[in-house]
Amino acid sequence: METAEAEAMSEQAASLELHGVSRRFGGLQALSDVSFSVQEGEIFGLIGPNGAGKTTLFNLLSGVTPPTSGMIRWRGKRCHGLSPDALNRLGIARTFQNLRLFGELTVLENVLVALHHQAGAQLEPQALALLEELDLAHLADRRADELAYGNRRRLEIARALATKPTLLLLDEPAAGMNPSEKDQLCDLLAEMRQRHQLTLIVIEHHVPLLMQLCHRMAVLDFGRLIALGSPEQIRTNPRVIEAYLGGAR
Amino acid sequence: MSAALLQILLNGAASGGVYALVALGYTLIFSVLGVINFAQGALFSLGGYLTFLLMGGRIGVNGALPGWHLPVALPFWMALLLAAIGAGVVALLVERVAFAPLRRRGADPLLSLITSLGAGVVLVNLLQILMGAEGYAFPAGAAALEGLPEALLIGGARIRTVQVVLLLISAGAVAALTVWLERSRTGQAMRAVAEDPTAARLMGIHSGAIVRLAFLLSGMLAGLGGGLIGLSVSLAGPYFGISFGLKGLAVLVLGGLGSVPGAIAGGLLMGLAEALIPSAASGWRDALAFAVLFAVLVLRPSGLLGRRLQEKV
Repeated sequence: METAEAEAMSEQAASLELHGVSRRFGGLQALSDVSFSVQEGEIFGLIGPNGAGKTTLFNLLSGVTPPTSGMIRWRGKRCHGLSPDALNRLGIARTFQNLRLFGELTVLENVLVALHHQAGAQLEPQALALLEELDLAHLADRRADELAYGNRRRLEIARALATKPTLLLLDEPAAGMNPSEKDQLCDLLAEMRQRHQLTLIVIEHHVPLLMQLCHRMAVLDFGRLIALGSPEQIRTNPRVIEAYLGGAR
Repeated sequence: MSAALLQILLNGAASGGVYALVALGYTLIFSVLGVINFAQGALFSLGGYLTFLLMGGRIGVNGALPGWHLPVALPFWMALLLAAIGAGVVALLVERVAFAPLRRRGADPLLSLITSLGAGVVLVNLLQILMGAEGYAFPAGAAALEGLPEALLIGGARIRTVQVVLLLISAGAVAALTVWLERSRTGQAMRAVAEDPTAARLMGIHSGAIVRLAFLLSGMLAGLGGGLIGLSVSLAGPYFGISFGLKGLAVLVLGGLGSVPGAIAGGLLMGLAEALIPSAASGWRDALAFAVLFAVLVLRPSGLLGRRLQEKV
């Protein structure tokens, strides 16, 4: 994506806003004073070395843990301090790095549970359509913990989509996938964003995949935001190179 | 099959059914919150006394209002149903005072063992103040069961009708609960909360409402058990539910913590083991029950149908 286009995006009214967001766990400052914004419809990447605070940031955005201080808004509505179910009703859904499917439920039931809060509607056809979209329909009656790894990752995405999100947070969606699965995932995510009119924030260790996918990216290191910009800007940013290569030295 | 053996099996299944009810009550709450509700035995007592009062039973001489009775005398079925609902509502109250405040403040879940025990003691003492410590027998056979005969002949075995009723009602309740958990939307949501409360909340499931529903249902199961045992055996004083609560706890561990089929299988096994004890040696009944528990746990530390214990990494 061109730098000019990325700059145009950051000038639009922000849909997700973070201002001075911090989280401390005892003596550990997991995130300090993080501020950035993400536009509606954007695919936004989040990278950083292990322990940089990426998953902590997802936990704050999805309400799993509250921020120690700072402000988070999605589409103008206050998010910080809300519970996960309240945030889900505001349109925020997520997947987990270490997969948290309901293993004892079937594939279909996992999606049905996520459709649960829609009263009255015929849920099963909706659930099956989502499974179809993620190429899981043929596994509908299998228990979730019987699935192969790549299928489980896609089931988590299907389950998150079932809650009809407007903002979807994906925590390492390509982890454990082989290169061809990763390519397919890339296409799938771009297609999903179109079809469901999503804003996506993606954490991924596989940086080339993210650079190909994202409009803009943010880089965290030791809980601080050290860079923000288009993939091209990130690639050439000396602080990013320092953070990555510095860790490898 | 000999008639004597059939008789033992049916009687064992009848009391086993009640144990399964109590154990399922524990299971529902354990699976959504990971804790044991020690007020369960008191709710069992409450169910028995409510059934008695709703059938028009009179308060005894040591009660708060000697000789007083409700202005109604409902048939057993209706009294039992209303008593179960009443115990369910009181279970909601127990959740409100003994569990919710601790959860809100993020306290260690183990603390609710003490607060729920406290709630149970308060409940039993209230029953004692109101009803006195004496035992109560339900109106005898025919009056209680609407003209059904005192005993039935099944395959040559003579069984008290009450035992058959016990077996049918507890089997019906267990089956209804199992189907509901498997098939209904809310049942699915409850299983999801049981497996991963955080992930369930991220799916937009209001876990507070699911927890309250679990308390309502488990209180109803305890109340149902209390009413059934009251009819079959009598109410032996406000503490009578506590021993059933303890037995239910043993069944819970026997079947495997948090497992619905385990609670049912454990209840039946416990009931059958007890029924095999000849009446001359009935003093050994509890000893045998807990010996069975001990033996099963030595062989299978996670219970009959419990999940294998997993080592934390």
